[in-house]
Amino acid sequence: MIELSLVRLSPIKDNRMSSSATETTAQQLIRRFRDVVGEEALLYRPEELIVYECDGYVVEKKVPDVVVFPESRDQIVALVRICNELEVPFVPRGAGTSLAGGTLPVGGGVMITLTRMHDILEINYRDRYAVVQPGLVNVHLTQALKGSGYHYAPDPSSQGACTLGGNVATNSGGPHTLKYGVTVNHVLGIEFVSPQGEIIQIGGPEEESPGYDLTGLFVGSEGTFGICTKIWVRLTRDPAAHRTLLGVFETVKDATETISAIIGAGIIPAALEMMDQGIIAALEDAFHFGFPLDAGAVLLIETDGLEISVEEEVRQIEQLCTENGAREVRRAQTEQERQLLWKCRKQAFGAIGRLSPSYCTQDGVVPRTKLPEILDFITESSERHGIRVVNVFHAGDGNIHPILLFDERDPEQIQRVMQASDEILNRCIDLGGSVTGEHGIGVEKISFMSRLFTEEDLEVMGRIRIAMNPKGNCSPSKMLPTAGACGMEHIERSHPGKQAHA
Amino acid sequence: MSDTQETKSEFAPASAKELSRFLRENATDNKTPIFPVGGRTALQFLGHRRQAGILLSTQNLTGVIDYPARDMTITVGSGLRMTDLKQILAEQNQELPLDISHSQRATIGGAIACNVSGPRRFAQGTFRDYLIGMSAVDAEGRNFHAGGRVVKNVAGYDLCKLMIGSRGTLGVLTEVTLKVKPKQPSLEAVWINCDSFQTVDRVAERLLTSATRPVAMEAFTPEACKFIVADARISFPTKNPVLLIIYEGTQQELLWQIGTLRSEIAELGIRSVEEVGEDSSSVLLGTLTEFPDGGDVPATFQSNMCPSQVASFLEFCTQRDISAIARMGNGIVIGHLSDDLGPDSQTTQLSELTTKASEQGGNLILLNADESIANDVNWWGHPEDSWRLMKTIKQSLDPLGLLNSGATPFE
Ligand SMILES: Cc1cc2nc3c(=O)[nH]c(=O)nc-3n(C[C@H](O)[C@H](O)[C@H](O)COP(=O)(O)OP(=O)(O)OC[C@H]3O[C@@H](n4cnc5c(N)ncnc54)[C@H](O)[C@@H]3O)c2cc1C
Repeated sequence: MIELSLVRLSPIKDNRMSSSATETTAQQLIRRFRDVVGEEALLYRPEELIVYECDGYVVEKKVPDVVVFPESRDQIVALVRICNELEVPFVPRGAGTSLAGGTLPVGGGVMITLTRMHDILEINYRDRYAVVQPGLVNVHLTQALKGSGYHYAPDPSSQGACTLGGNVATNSGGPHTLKYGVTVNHVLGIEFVSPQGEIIQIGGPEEESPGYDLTGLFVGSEGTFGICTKIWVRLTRDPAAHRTLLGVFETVKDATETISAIIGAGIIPAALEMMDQGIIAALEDAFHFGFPLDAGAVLLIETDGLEISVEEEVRQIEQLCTENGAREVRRAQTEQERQLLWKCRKQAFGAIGRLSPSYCTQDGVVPRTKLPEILDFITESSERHGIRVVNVFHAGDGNIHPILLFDERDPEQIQRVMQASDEILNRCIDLGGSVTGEHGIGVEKISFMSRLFTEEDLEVMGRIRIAMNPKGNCSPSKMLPTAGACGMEHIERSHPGKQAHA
Repeated sequence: MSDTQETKSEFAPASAKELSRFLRENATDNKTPIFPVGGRTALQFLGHRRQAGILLSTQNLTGVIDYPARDMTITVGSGLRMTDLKQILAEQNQELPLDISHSQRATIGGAIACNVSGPRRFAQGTFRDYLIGMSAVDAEGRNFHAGGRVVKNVAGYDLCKLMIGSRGTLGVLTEVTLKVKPKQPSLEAVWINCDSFQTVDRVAERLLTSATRPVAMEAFTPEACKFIVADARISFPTKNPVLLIIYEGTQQELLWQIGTLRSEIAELGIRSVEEVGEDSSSVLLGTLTEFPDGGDVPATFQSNMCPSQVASFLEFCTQRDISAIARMGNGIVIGHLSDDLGPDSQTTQLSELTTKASEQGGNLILLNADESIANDVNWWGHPEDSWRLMKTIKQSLDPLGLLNSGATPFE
């Protein structure tokens, strides 16, 4: 007999909540799911479920009671309706690369995993859009578009694994979103299954439709508004020409001053990323690119535009780098060299395993001219707490990712990591920024919400949530700190967010 | 309840706090319908629902709250006029590259509430791409904000997107933070006289893979050409469809792009690419920006569809003497009905247009309609499932339906 501990969303009014009744509910759930998707699309044995106890945020763990892999929208409708009937919560999951615990099945229940819905349904170059299923891996869309002259612009560093559905839910960014905008700027429409099991389409291939921009609202809702089943994305022209530069600096300060100078001069490169000495060493070890190991920091700068003007921008950038103390500015001479540079950047997190057994990435944002200040603060805080920190981040957006290195086996160290992380994020708020630029609030950062927002702000957000998710059964206990509906208790932030290696 | 607009009284709070107190008291005491107004340039869409109520003006919320120019963001009061905003940004050689009509009067809050955009949206996007933070007051006086002052931020629900285009039905914007851009040095337009809308379509399609990067691609029906000729004093042909292409950048970039365009288009057998000239190009951009305000026309519509569908829709408009311009890269057509028609024919024509738009996979909304037909026409096109959800959202922020009643599709 399978033991399942399904959590009821609302208190059971009669005495059916005896253990045998719980089993009956569980068995009923599995039997009815089986009718919808078949046995091979269901996981419910403890040893199978363990993989799904967390996502890229490995601190809070909770196994779902059932994981189900639907292959169609209609299956999702049926599954969601069954969950509603049996009053069981459910959470959507893509590739599980969330760094904020977005897929954590708080309170148990059903995990609806979209990875089997990974088709590209249409690519329309004439009207510059593609229609995809939510489980499509980001880079697979890039590959499908290769050579067409078009691409899908948002390119998270995790693009080799993460799904478009996950990108929509978290409003993902990436290196090239500096110039081209984040996910929401490239999503035209969404079809989703509402928390009550209705199919709703918002937006579509055309740019505007009557009424509110629900597509814009849905993007970034972190799985709390329903399950996205289809996405219309805008395709972007490939740049006519691009140049990729590597600015080498003695100190982090010189590098961050340069970033401020470039943006302040009114230049928006296609991408502007910073990597400090710690991360350079790990990357060099992993990829042998030829990074200067004695440099304090490097900037990876890509500029694009018309062939006739891109050289001029490069010249200006080179000059600003030099004026701000760059030791040298190299250019990627070949497309291969450029690809390798980007590979290093995008796999930087993977290389961190070489530095430390555990690490915790923070995702703060500051106004871009405040970068030197926040990086000074990070250094100071890391020294004060005796925690080593390395930095690799989307500098042009002011989106920092300090990576705090530690050993999970040492609880006292964990405590210090927690303190340093919180200090850094609080400092971001004080500097006029935010505690997340792209990874989301999830469960990880709920406790910061009341620092960022007033009670009235949160009440309005809560009202919107109730409008979209009236019973609170779709991904409960995410994003908003206070009870927006039943089952949304506050989760204390008690551990640092060590990340899975991508 | 009286039926004329004259019965509206007016209130212009001095601060967001006062605005919030006013709305809170109104929601508990009088429950008077409220009509938020900025520059009063886009109130036509409420024309068909004349009710008594209070015009709530943001005219006193005009401050520049924070302008860290080197961060390329600006935070201002929602009542700031677009011309003033433009001027403030220009002093730092920056701009908000959206084309907003009536910029002398229009306020930034009103422009956002109506999601105004213009020709350059093809390259520059819409408010969705620029509004990064906002404060607003809902119908019950809750003063709420979302987003922030940094260019990248995913904390909390993105209520900025919800407010854009919500036409003052969910709350009154009080403060907005925008991402801005470096100002483009110059702008140059060229036009192509096309023998048919098929040709317009062929050229527009070719431009999608051009080595150049147009910021706007606009097509006009002959009736629209006549208007543009008169307004911008440009000598377009007025018998054929015209395709206009706009470039921005340095002189060197403009020169190169126009030259390249000529040779690309020549391959399609089209030899005449006429240059408008730099000064006239700006005037022309202004004319196109103001086009949606048709003056005395019986009705103005906006139809949204895929770009590949536009040529056939424009043909349909031409056959009906409709003055229409189309954003060829975006699939947006704005048209004015001819005033030669009587009210019955106008109503019929609008319903034909709505049907045509939906046959082509798109939709059609009315931006304005004369009183004589306002109550007989379909302002929003065919109902969609999502409207129910919009209604729920509206009810959650404005349970008594006090804000701008009549300005949503689902009522
Ligand atoms: C090494 C590494 C690098 C990263 N780099 C970046 C980066 O550069 N930029 C960036 O933005 N993020 C980055 N991330 C974070 C993460 O990859 C993104 O948040 C990504 O969008 C998550 O996609 P996923 O498919 O893994 O979604 P999951 O982790 O499975 O889910 C994320 C959230 O989306 C919801 N969700 C998933 N699918 C659906 C659906 N179909 N409908 C509704 N809700 C759904 C989930 O409930 C959850 O709340 C990185 C992560 C790692 C591990």
